[in-house]
Amino acid sequence: MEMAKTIKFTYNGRDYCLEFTKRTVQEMDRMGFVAKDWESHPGTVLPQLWSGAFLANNRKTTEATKEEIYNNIVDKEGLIEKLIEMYNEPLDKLLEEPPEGAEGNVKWEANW
Amino acid sequence: MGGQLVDDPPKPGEIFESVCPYYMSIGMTYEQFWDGDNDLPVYFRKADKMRTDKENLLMWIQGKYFYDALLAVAPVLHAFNKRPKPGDYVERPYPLTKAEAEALEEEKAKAKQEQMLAMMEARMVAINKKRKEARENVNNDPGTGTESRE
Repeated sequence: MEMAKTIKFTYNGRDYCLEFTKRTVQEMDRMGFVAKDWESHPGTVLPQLWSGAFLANNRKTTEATKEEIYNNIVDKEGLIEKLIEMYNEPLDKLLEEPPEGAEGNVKWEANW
Repeated sequence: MGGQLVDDPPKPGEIFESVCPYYMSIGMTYEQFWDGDNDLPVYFRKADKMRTDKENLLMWIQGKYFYDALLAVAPVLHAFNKRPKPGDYVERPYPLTKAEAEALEEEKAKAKQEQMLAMMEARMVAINKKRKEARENVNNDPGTGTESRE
């Protein structure tokens, strides 16, 4: 079974696992995060998105640490792309069709 | 004013809230829905579809049993039938798998074969009996005996 999308890294000896669940997406809604403002206000939306990704598994991380990590992160463009994809996942999976048939199954054979 | 009010699309959180009861109705717990793996809803929907299909099949089978039972008693219900004799109810449950169906077919074929064999044996016994009787009749009848041929 495919697992939920996550972003994992270690910073200052601590492991982080960024993830969005339905609960954290809803929490971000309530905090005023509006994904569709991405194009008009990227400067506001991006930090909120980055910060929200910590809520599922690293809730106690301070805003200062999140910012510090973000400043040290490489390939920011790729990261943002993945964050958006990850943010959309909880909703996408509610609409996705379940996998069918044998596609992706591992075939095997014995020699006796 | 010719303007038109357009509602904002619902926020993801509002959509989650609206569909949460549905997912709970198909077996997800509250925690699984809100905090669980994002793939869970996909598999719960698939499992629910399978459950529904199975229920549908079971109801169809029940209807078939009922239909067959009605056919079996139909002669009794016929008002002008002077000597009503109900038919037999289906002997055994309907086979649900291919293996069960094959086993049933095999059993039927074997029973038919045994019946044919029994019939042939009975016929052979009857023929032998007739031959024996005929032979005895010939021996007892002096007019047709071997001596009379000379």
